Amino acid sequence: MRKYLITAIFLLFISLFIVPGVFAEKQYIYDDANIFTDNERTDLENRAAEYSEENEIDILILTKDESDGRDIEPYIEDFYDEQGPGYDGDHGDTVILGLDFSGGPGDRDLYVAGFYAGEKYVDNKRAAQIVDQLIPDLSVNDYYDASLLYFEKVDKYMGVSPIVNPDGFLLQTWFHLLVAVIIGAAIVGSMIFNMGGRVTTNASTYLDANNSRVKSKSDRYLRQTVTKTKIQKNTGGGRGGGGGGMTRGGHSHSGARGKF
Amino acid sequence: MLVHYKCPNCGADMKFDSASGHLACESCGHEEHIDTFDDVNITQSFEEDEAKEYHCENCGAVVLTDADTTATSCSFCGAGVVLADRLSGELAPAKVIPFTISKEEAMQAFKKWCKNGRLTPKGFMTADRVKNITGMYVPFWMYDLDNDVEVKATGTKVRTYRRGDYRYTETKYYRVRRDIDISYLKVPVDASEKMDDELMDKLEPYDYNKLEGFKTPYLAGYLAEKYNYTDDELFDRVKAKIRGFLDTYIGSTVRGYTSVNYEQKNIRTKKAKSYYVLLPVWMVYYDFDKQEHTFAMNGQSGKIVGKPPLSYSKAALWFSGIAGGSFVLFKTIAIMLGGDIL
Ligand SMILES: [Zn+2]
Ligand SMILES: [Zn+2]
Repeated sequence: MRKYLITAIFLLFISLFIVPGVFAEKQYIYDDANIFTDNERTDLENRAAEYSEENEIDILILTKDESDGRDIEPYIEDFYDEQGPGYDGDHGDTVILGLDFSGGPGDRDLYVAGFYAGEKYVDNKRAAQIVDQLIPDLSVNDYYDASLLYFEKVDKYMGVSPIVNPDGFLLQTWFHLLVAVIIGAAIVGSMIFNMGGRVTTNASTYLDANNSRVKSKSDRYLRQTVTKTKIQKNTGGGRGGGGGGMTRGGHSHSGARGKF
Repeated sequence: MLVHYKCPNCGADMKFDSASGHLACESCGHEEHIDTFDDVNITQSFEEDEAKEYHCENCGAVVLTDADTTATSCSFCGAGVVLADRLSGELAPAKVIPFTISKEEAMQAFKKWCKNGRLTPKGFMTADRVKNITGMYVPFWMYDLDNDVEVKATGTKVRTYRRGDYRYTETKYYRVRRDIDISYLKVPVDASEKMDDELMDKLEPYDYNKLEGFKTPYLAGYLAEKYNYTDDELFDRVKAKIRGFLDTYIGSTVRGYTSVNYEQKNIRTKKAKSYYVLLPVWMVYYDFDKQEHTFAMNGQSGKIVGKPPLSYSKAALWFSGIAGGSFVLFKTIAIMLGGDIL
């Protein structure tokens, strides 16, 4: 009896450490299409956990195959509604990469979606940028490298204010150098140019305003030309297209899709 | 014909005083109003061969002049003399703007200007090698000009709007005609051969409220020259000078268009009047680095023009300071927006 009690207490004691750990252990990689090896999956889980913790947002990867007939976008939306991921709690800040292996090579869908903070920092345009950058790796079946790139991109984009393009020239050092050199050259150039004294007369210095006037004027309409151009739909600037939407559970999200 | 201005008090030579605007005696301090200065006190000496040589009445020395000089000082006794025969008849100036800045003030202003030279070599900034500073009345022609301008142009008004999936750009063309009178008063053009035109243009503007009727005593103690070019000879130059002004005025009468293409600008410029005037300039000759640099100062406003030497190391310092500063600023903004450090 006493032995059982000790065993029970021991088990309880162990479970105190293990059980909360089991509950707290979040899953980031939902590899339903079985495209990663066990090693890769473990590694990606660890990295996803690190990146998620660092950026305070859940960064997930979902894969599916033809056994689920849904399109990748509603698939991600339903997953979000059902699982309610989020760094800050149920149905919270999340970025999801969805890979759909239903079709053949070149006809398989990928989708990047952002929820809440994810919607703000990985907006439609940035999602499209990520999609575009993942396609080369995905096209040669390099899913593991594509996943790493996805983490890195989300990690980078989460740190960049939504008002600037994280991959644009505005944040590039060469651009800062170029503008700085232009400003320096322009200011010092005008200083040198003005060293000898500036011309300080202008068109009104000698004007006799009392005796200057328009005697007659005419503005006669001649003809008009009209040209029309088709307005290009914003496709996110690349192959990635789509845009966000709303889950059935009422969670708005950003997103972009592409094929690989 | 050499003119001396003798002090009625003590008989010494008088000079124009820029502070009071009067003739002043340096020996006894006596001042005389230029308008009321008695002709009795103007002593004139007549030479046999006027065109060649003038002799100082005080000391008898030859007064050194060249063909253009109209006023100078005796290089021996310093008496200010005016060569009146070169200022009469056709050569009589109509107006003069007297000096308001004295030699000492000019020197001080020049030193201050040198000190503020942000791109000049250090040795230049001390301004301790000013070789010479000379007050000079430079001959100018001033033109009153009436311009009759006829303009033909095509103007466009562009409007864009969206209908359905298309963006429409509608361009309307207009035939624009203008008939304009544009007048300018007292546009100055330097009439001296020796003076650099660009330098003289930069000295402008002068305050024309201070234009006085010409009297020879204004020149006492200064250098003065007569014009080398007549008003007709310089007419093309004054026309070129107002061309930009005319274009600005014309542009201001053609408003409201997206673009204007001028097909014809017929400009007829008529000279309504021209005056021969003398304008005050302090010439500063500065030896630096075995080179003479010439500067000119507006004798009325104090504006200084002329190219000082350039210190490349200072220019490089300014450049790296400004470029480096802007780089740090951009980088800081970029990092605040989430960019990388490198
Ligand atoms: Zn006296
Ligand atoms: Zn003398």
